[in-house]
Amino acid sequence: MNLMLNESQCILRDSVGRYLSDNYDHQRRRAAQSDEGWPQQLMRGFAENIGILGLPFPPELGGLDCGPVDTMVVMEALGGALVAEPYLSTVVAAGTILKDVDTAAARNAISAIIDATAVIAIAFSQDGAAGDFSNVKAIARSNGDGYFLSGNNIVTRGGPYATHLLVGTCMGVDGRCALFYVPADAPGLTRVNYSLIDGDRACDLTLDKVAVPADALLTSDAAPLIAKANDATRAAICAESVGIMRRLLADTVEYTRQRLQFGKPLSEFQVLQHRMAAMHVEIELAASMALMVALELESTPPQRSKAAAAAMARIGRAGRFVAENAVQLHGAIGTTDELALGQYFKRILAIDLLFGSPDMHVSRYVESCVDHAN
Amino acid sequence: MRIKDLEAFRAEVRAFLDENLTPELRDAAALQAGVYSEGDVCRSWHQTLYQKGWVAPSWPEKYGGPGWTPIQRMIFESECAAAGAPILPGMSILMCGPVLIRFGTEEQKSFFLPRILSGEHFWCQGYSEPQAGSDLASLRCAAVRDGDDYVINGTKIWTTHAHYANWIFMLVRTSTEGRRQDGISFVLAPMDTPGITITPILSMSGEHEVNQLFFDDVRIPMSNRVGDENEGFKIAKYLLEFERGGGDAGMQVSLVLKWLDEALVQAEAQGFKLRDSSYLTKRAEIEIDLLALTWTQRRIVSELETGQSVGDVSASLLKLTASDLYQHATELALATLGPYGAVDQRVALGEDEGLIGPRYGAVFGARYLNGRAQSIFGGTSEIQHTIIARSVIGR
Ligand SMILES: Cc1cc2nc3c(=O)[nH]c(=O)nc-3n(C[C@H](O)[C@H](O)[C@H](O)COP(=O)(O)OP(=O)(O)OC[C@H]3O[C@@H](n4cnc5c(N)ncnc54)[C@H](O)[C@@H]3O)c2cc1C
Repeated sequence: MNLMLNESQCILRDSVGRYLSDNYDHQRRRAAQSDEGWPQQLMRGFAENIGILGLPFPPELGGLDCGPVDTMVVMEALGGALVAEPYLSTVVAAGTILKDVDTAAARNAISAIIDATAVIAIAFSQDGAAGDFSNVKAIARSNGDGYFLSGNNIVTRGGPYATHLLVGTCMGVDGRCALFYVPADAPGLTRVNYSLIDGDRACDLTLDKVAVPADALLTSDAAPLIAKANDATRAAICAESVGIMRRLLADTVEYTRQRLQFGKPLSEFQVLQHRMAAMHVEIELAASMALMVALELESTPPQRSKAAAAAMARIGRAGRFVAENAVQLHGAIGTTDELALGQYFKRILAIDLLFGSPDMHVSRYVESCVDHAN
Repeated sequence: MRIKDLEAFRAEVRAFLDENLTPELRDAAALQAGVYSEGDVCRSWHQTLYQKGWVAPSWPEKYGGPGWTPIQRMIFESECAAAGAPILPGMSILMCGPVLIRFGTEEQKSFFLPRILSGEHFWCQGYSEPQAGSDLASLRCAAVRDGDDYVINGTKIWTTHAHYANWIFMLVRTSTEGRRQDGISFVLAPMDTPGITITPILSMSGEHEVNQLFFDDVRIPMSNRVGDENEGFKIAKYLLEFERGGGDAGMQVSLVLKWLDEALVQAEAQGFKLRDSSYLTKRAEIEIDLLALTWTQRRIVSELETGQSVGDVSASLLKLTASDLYQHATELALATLGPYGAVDQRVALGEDEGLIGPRYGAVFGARYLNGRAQSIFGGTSEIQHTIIARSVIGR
């Protein structure tokens, strides 16, 4: 078994890494974030300079036909530069769904993703992420040629700047889950926008009899696709977290090497050496889990979900440990808004809150074991 | 004191708190993200306690303390926590007061102590410098004699609430000879002295609690020195024992748990079910740890006289344990918000939308982020371990 990145994956990693380090530092990212148009600019930059928006899509639609490990490579790099959010929802989550829907509307949507004219936010339940709060509470009713959608979705990441939304609803007599592709400016759709601690924008979304045409319906049997997209998102989040953790450790090592106390660099104190060693160990275990889940994404749904739960549980724990110790080892300066460190710390925290804590994923893992046994 | 008397005392405290803690004060305390309550809330609660004679529980009676035993004091503080009282900043009562009582001249005591009690003087602590954090003895901010004055030049950083304070106690370098520890003096300066400027520093959660101060030819009378010249480090360390071990170590943790419990009752009234079994287990673990901390403090404190410090090793042990527990408690609280926990409420409040998500969780995020500083200020957890190790291993 060869678990090394192949040559083209190495090239991908290096070119994305180079592009990001040339174009995004913490200051610039922060300045840009106050502008609602920034995610679109970001995505256009990806389209024009590194072509990663087509990564998972088939060549006949203009895609690169790459697999989950390639996505892992890209997400880790995006995580290291803290610019992963619109890519995650658009290419990874929405992309997973659109790829499996064989309609003209879905194909058009994929083309729009690839040329960065569509930025998509996800408005369906990410089970395990939120317990009680974020179940899909929308319903769709048939309306002659199309449908009316009503309901709401809280903390819709990227909602404020998205051009389109993927809305999950209950539909029909049996209340099965359906998925709709909805333009964000559709009448009847209102958004209460706000910022998240990691600097991304989100909204609470309300749909009040939003009329959509028949071809906005992507599938009326969405549950399996949603589960698949959620697992793909989890795998991507795992890779992103690894990118963030590597950066947190690198910054910490650098800082403790140059900060002098008691007449020597902090990095010479054995307690701190051991702590940084432990951070490194956590990151290596996390990277292995990120690879594991990427490789399991194409397995059977139960196996895939179990792998995703395991990876999120383990990586979530690693993320907290690395992030908290990175701050701790910086001392007071680490608790301020001045260093990039704080932004990375808050992204790790946001991931935990938005995509589910290690505890939640352990419970999901337990459930998937029980399901297997039955 | 017998158990029966202690219970009577507890009842008296409880009745007082019932009567005087207004809903506004409780609300303000519950919505505070930092360690200490802010400006107006503090002043108001300080006044109430002052009128009653209870504002300085740790001080000996002759200086205006209530004359309580350390155990009574613990009871008082745990009742305050149970009632959700605001936490007063420690710099005045908990830190500056005991130092003046122990090392101040009669004049200093009779001038400063009543003003600390009344709240007229609000203190901040000028120890840390950019290059002198854990290694406090390497501080450089210099005081040079000029006639009967000291002229101070240098900088202090991370000064909590300097923007509210009208006095600062600070460590300055008065000699560069001999051991570094032996060239430090402890001095007091009014914050409106010409030459002092304050620059705010924002925390990760967006709060303004700490500052950097610059001293540019700041002139203070030599009579504002506490203790002998170059004896300041000993005083500084004595003060740290109070900073670390002076209060009820578990008070902040119990407050966080109390606010969390109240929040969840509200949440349940709105139909959310947040207390699943993993929550309940974690909540119980924290409460059990808190019990261990409380009984440890009781054991330590029961041997003390009023006004005595717990000593450096016990202070470190209490501080270390309490800060760790506080961090766990704030993490637990934040997790109950699910995705709403990731909302930047500070930005939301500044914009049109106002608070996003359930009101009860408005400060859980900021409190967790702020809580990261608990294992850093007042001496980092690594430094507390070093102090404890020195005593355990006996070097
Ligand atoms: C919110 C907040 C409020 C504060 N308020 C005040 C205030 O009002 N007044 C004031 O004077 N100061 C204040 N401080 C400063 C505080 O006392 C210092 O932050 C603290 O002493 C640590 O110093 P440092 O931040 O420079 O970290 P450093 O000393 O640089 O430490 C960085 C890391 O190295 C570790 N380390 C350092 N030395 C050793 C060693 N020998 N062995 C092992 N590990 C080591 C530390 O534990 C830490 O993890 C405040 C700090 C914060 C965060």
